[in-house]
Amino acid sequence: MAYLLSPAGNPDCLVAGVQNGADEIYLGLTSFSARAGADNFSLENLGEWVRYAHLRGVRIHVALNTLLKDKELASAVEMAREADRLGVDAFILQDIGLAEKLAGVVGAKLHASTQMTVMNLQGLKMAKALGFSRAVLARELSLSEIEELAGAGIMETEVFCHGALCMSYSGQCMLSFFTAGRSGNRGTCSQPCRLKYSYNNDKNSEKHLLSPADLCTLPYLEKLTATGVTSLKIEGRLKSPEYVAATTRAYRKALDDPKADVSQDIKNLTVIFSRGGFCSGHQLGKLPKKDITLSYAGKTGLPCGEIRGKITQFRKNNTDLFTANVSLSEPLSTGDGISFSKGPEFGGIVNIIENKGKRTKYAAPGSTVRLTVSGTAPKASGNEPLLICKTVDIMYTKELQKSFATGSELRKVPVTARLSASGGLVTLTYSDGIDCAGSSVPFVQGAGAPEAALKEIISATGGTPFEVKSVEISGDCGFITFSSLKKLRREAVSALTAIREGRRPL
Amino acid sequence: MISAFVFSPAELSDEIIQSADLVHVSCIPYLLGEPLPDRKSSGNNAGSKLLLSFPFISKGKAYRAFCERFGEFSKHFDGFTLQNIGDYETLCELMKAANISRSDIFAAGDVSLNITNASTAEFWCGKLDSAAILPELDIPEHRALIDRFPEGLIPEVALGARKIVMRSEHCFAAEGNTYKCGKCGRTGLSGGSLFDISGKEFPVVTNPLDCNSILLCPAPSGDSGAAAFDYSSKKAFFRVV
Repeated sequence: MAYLLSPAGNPDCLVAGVQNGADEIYLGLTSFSARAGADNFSLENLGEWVRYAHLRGVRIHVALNTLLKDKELASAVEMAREADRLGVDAFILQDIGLAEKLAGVVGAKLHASTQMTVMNLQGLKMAKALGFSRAVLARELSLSEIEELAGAGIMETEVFCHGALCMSYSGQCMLSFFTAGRSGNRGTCSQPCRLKYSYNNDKNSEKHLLSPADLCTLPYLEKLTATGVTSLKIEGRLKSPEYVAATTRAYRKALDDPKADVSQDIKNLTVIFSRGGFCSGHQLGKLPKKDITLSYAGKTGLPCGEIRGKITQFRKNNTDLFTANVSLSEPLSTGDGISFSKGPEFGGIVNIIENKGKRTKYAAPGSTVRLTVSGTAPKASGNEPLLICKTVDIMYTKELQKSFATGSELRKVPVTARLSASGGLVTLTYSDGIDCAGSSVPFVQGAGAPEAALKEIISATGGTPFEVKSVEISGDCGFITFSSLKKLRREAVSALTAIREGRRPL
Repeated sequence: MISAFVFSPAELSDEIIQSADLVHVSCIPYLLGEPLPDRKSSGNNAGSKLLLSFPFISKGKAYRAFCERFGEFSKHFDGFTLQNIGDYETLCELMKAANISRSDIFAAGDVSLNITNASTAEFWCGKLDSAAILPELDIPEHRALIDRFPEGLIPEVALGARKIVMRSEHCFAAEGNTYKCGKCGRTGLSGGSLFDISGKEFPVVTNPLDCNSILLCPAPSGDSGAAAFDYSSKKAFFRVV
């Protein structure tokens, strides 16, 4: 099964990725990251988050994927060495000079960034010669092209499965630099792709001609994984932790159960972030022009209803409000965010829902309700139906936030436990494949506690990521006090935690 | 030394051939049937070299056609200009298949190899004869990097030339949804232009074989301060077109 690789622009995103099922997390440091606009991580706190991820079996990939100037190389190498000492699992690199300096020097693996524009077998061979063990393939490859490269056995391959697409081959774009003085190759892309352009100066064609819809591979994920690709990457180091939680959760579910119905997940992701819906990029053939989001380049949300009749805009307590009757095609709750399909810059937060004259906090699809929204609405444009889109699903958002904002452990590490008596000592061992035990307590003759009670204490690993799948009690453990057993449990869990935190996951 | 990059044979004027020491030519028009130059080092009285560029995008029909015709191309050009990291491996494979030794051709790397430091230049030394510096570096950075280029690899400065600001799998000139409109004609600079809202023009160069395209920077950017360089210096190629 392909690994799932999630983005982390800050610690909340990292927790969201880990707790919702990522196998790998990629993040940037304070320098040399292609997403300089993200919060990113410092060397001071990186170790803490590497240990957090490793404890839960998740690898950390550090993106040092900008092009470097001579005067920067030494500090980039030093930063990489320090991150390597902290145990990161891989570096994602674009700069050949940096790769040359790190190959064979750091323990972490080297991954060729998509910024290296690897798109054929020869590119893979060159990357291998440079010391890379994985290549993030160009986003413009079709499934058959991905299959050819993944199947060549030259190195691991990684492809994007979700998120924003560039109009240019990554690593081959200087548009931002030459229009805004901000280099995409150096982490400061100004996203000129999302601006308006016209073709041959025809003002009628002035639209967002370079802005593709975001990629979503959920509808054909089985085909993508069947290419043999090693890892599936979710784009979005500038996105929110809710986005990371939602995308990671949806793809984890689809990877674990390829037959699962993902239609609701796609709707959820459309709300979380999408630009006029989703597309398949170039994976199912050249991206159709219809998947260029001509009219608007920002977040659009999920179509959820149609305005019926007149919109009334007014002000109350210095707040802009509007009311309208809406026929709903998707559920809507108070607190949800909405926008307009023709005028995504308009919209607001749903304050009041009235269904047949009665206030309600929730309205089901199929119902026609009266909404009071804090925000502004576009002016009516003739008789054209005016669609509204859901841009925030407050209930889903709160559910997602539980996964990263509450300290809860959704991601469990399965372990086995064994309580054994030998040589006059009783020992409790937890194992994730490697046995870990704390101290032993002396064996005391006497009637032991019921086995069920012992198992209950041994299995009580709440507050840790460990989930005890089975408990084996061997030998005559005799009399052991519950307090002694709890001490053994704490010590063994602590030992296993220390080992896992300091170990690069396989 | 002077260099130039032309996108179509029509741009390959006598003036350019005579004045430039190194001329890179896009392969797309030749893949579409344009007649090949009738000589190696054509008009090469001054020892200039005519190099055929690999396709701007290293996959698809254009790439396959380029590989298939490599032996033929090698008889008409002095060498080749690499566009992608994999192109070097491809070049080695093609030379081997065509029984051409490395010393028989001139191999150049374009700005797309993203050379911004001496370590990267060092990697290409011994593989290429010249390599362009990414024009995102400023003039002092260019000067410093030229000084640090390894012996045996000639730097090329592209500050004053037209620059490809985007290589896209899309065709910016295409109409409709099919990418089969056929409106771009047969050669290079016929793809029209994109204009930003301030009116800056970005010429489109199409590849009808794969219906992808590249975008050039707004009209040649003057010399971008490149006149600060001594073009007669033998230390580097200075791309003027």
